[in-house]
Amino acid sequence: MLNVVLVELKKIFKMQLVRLVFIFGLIFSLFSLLFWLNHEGPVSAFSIPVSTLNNLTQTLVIVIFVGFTGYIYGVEIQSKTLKIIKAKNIPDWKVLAYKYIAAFITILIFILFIGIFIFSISTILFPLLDFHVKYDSELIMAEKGLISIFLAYIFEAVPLFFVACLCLTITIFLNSAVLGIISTFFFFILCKLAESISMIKIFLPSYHILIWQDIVRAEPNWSEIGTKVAITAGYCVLLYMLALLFYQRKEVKD
Amino acid sequence: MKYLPIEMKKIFKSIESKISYVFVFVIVLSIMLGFKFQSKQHISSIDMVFITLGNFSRYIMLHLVMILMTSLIVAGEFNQGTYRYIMLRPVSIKNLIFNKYIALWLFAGMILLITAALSFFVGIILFEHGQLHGEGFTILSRPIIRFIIFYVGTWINAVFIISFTTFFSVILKHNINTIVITFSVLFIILFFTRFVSDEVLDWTPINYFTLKPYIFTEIIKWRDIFFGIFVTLVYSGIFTGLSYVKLKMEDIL
Repeated sequence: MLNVVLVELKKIFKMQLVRLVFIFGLIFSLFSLLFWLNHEGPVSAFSIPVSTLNNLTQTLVIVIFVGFTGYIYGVEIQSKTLKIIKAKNIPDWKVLAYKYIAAFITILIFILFIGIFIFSISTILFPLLDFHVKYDSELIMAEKGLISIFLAYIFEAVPLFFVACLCLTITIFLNSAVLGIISTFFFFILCKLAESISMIKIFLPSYHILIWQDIVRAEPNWSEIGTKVAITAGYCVLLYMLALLFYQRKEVKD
Repeated sequence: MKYLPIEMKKIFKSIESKISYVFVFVIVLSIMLGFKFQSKQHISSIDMVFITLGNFSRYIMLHLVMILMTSLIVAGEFNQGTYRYIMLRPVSIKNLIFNKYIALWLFAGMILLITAALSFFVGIILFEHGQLHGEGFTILSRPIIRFIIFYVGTWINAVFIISFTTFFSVILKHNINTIVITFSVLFIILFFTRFVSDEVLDWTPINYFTLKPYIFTEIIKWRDIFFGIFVTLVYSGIFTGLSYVKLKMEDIL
């Protein structure tokens, strides 16, 4: 199993698109640094990675960045290798599971790569002070800062994995990576619009994309975080099952 | 102009265009229903025609649709290997770019027309007939003139995103890479504007993505509108020129 996942990962990291997304992710993150460099008064090194996560998730730019995962399946369509995969004696659920796992690992690497990069620069430029965030009135202690930031980045991989699952599932359904990426982005814009209705807010994936805000707090509510992770994970499983259904019914002509 | 019908056919027969219509339809309806049930202010049906396009600009929806279609029409030629066949006929690059631009621009017009028509007709059903309101709920005069400027101005400015995406299409030569990278660059530029003064932004197309600030005032700011369209067209010309040079230097093999 590990071998197949490694092959998938190798394929992903050989894509020009993935390398470009990593570069653009870093450039985008550096803007947070620019903002804090102009800030008057003492700045904590912890504020910069928090600000980066905020910019990435609030602007939905992360949805486009993560959209590359649709290409994990899209590349098989484009290279007409689906026929070869289908001809092999590998169960369909395994073929898809490897792709979804590879997508999750890539996202984890992507988000941690940004987090570690931006935090490393921040620690050079700013001291590790107590800090506070806009959405929490209490101060977060410097001793808790590192673990809090690290967990925020790790947990953020879960809603981002949902984005990847959605993108992959649409790509498999529509047989087009372009439509997968675009439809995912459209879907998130719709969710953002729907967030104004408080009754359905909790069930919307765009609401859970801000899971890091529940972790970077003086006193995180772990049961609420658990619920959000469970809802998102449930959506991911559902999307995987749907993708499997579409994949099994797929007619491979080329 | 003989290539125009071919390009138009490619656009209107693509699944991407159909998906764009569906999303425009869904988003316009969502915006209107959202305002119907959430807004506490009295909104008229004519207000909705402006609100939907305002929200379209806010979420850069038209840009998203045009990036999708331009990548299909321009980068798709490289992706599917058809650029080589076009060049074998041979076709003038100027003609090729011009026809693609016109076809894409007409598609942008179609999207805006659907947005306006849908907003107006659904607005009549969901909202009461009334006057056009501006900032602070002041009543604005000449709603038809304002409507024409808002929609036509946005339509003219759509040329910028077409030329911007064309530039990335000829560089990346891959439609998925073009969509993701053009979007990322656009987001980065928009984000960067936080650090730039308005005086500088006035000389970029970013301040004219939406013409709302120049229309929703008591007196229409004609000078700003024309200047904005001029700036946008200049930038579009620069990106078109760069794409032209890149295509001229292209080795078709």
